[in-house]
Amino acid sequence: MEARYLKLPSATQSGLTRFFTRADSVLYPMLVVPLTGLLPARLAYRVAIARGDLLYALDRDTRKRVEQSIQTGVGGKEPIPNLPSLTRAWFRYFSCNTVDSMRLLGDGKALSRLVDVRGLDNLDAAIARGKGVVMFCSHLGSRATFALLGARGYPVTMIGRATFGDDANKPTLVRMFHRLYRGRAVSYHARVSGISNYPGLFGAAAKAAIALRGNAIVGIAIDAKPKPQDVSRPVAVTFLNKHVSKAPGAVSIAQLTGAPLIMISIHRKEDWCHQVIEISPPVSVEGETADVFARCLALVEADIRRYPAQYVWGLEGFWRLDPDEAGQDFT
Amino acid sequence: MSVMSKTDGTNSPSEMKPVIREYITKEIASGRRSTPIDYDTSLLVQDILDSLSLVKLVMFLESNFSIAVRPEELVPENFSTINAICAYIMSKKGTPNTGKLS
Repeated sequence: MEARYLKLPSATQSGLTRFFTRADSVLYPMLVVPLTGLLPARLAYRVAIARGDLLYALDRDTRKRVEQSIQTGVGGKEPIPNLPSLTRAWFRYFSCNTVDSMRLLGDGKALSRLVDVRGLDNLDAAIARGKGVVMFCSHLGSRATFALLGARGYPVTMIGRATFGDDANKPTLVRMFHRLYRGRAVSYHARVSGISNYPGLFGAAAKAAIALRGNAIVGIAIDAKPKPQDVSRPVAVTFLNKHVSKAPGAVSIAQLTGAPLIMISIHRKEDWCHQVIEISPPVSVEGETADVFARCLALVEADIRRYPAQYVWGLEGFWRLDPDEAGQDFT
Repeated sequence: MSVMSKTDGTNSPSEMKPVIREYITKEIASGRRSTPIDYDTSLLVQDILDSLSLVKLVMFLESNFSIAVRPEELVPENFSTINAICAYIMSKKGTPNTGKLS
């Protein structure tokens, strides 16, 4: 994920900076992060923070994109006073997420002991109903941390396109990284096989329904742009100051299968080393799918606004450099 | 036969196909399609089946034909047409598909 959002076409950076950022996109996950596995947690995350700060200083294009994304999505027309520090925090956040993936390897305890999980009783009660659990979230927080639920023995799987290294648009080295670290670790801790909804693949929702029948927890990020196979049922919503279309699949699947729908929120604490997972009580799925979905999306948006430096702003049209273009409805 | 009625699990393809077609026509393609669906109409190419309607169809098939669909069986080949769905169900039941095509 990281290189996808940091390694961008660069029009204004010097050749030296371009060389550094490209070298970093390979060396950091392939060499530096594995070495941090030998360090105590606090020191490992300090290395990640230092690397984030360095990228913040050097990679002006990405910095500008992040600043503009946070401004557009959170501030709107109101200026955000601490925008530079939020932007620097975003670089730190992505650096730290890569370290999470490394610490998830093995039995996951190296990461698990750094994470405070709140609301497990909500999850236990939902699972006890025997219809599986649809767990919705946004692209906020660390995906490796979501997989910790699997490391704790919960039957968790995820619908996603990048998690398992199957995105053909990514460079070979990046896909290799996904398979070696993130994909392998996340897959290992997913007690049920991961469900890819990469465009062109078939039956992700039905696979989710089958997993739910086995009383699994199916994680779905509801803020993503609808995939080509989902375009027949988009819901028009306002999300992070933009009028967009989203696929309400998480709600539809919950309504069809009777599975409880609960929200998971993941964020880092201020020390960057520790994280919090919050699991909500079930959200009511009574009513029209579009209305329920809008309520769910409002919940995740509120969460993003609380932690704007921990969101994947590379999604959708936020990443554009032209302020006018970034402010447009992109659907 | 009503699309919602449950079969006894011993259907032949010739009995299954009208049931499946009626379900797809009324519950999945309703309001989205004016032309009739034949047994060899491509459900995927013609956008009759999307990700969520496949969930409904799988639940219907499991409920009505006493089968359990496995994730690895969710491939386009098994759901591309009504004929293909019947062949898939028959293969799950261990019986060759001898029904006539429409």
